[in-house]
Amino acid sequence: MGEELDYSRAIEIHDGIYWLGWTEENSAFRSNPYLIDDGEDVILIEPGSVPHFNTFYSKLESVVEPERVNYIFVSHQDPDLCTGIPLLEERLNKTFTILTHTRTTFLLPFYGIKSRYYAVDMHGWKLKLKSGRELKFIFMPYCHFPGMTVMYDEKSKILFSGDLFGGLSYDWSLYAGEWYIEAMKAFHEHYMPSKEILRHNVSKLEKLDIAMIAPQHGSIIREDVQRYIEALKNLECGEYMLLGEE
Amino acid sequence: MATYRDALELVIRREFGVYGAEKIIDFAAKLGITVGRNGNIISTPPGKSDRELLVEFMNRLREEFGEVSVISCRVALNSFFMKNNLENPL
Repeated sequence: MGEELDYSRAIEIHDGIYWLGWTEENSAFRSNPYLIDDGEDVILIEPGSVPHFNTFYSKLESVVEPERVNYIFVSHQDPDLCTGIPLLEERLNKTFTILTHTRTTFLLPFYGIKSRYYAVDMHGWKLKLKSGRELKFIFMPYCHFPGMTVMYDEKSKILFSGDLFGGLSYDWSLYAGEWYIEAMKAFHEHYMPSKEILRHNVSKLEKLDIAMIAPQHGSIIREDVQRYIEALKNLECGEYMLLGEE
Repeated sequence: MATYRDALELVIRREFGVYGAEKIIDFAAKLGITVGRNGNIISTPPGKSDRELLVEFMNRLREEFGEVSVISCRVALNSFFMKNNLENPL
């Protein structure tokens, strides 16, 4: 904690795993694309949106030859995390294999994405890379999309959690600080449909040995992972909490 | 028994996460509320109830920081009032 990081550059968060995001002082809702360089396979995770494409791309090419990217993982189809994919296809004149849930594959083509899909729910919820490294996919239905799926890299023990564990904060840092749990609650209370659904899904993570949680909004959790899991398991959430306000 | 002061501390801690502790401690000071680094209220101005302070805090928060400040703690406050059988003054 407390180290000086240059957010204008890609940041290696683990051996061969990079943060390719950006910061904006006046935004509480930043996005975090990541990349896993596994040699013969290079996986982009939630690559981002149209307005930030150039920033993202310059960071991407600072860490790998972009042509080497062959997989893209998306947890769901919100525009902030995947509308940059058609721009990447165009820039590189190539397509990719998109790792996601079948329900998400129905919607992604509406952004003009031409890549093919690897529906993780049709492949045993896993993908073995050429190196033997295994990526696991965990289904988190209705958190907040019906097909929401997160990705766990067995080698690094990093959970790429999509919107789960994301935060709403103007006081952003790459790694979660003292009050990140409050920023996380501020986001989940509105986005997640109910305590029961959130609790049921988050409980699935307790079987995993997680060293780090890398959400696509907010900050990376690298300490006290269990405390954040517990916080989400016990969170009162959902718009129904606002009943009586209308 | 939960009180409106607990509700105000809930808001303060939430806004620590959204805007940073320093900004919120400075903001609270403008309303005469002294807040510690852990988000607890150390002192409040004389002559105002905690309920009045909560309402004033939320109104001024909206004016100074905008809608996100209110949205970020709305569900938590509603939940707190319901759970503790407190009337929602907001």
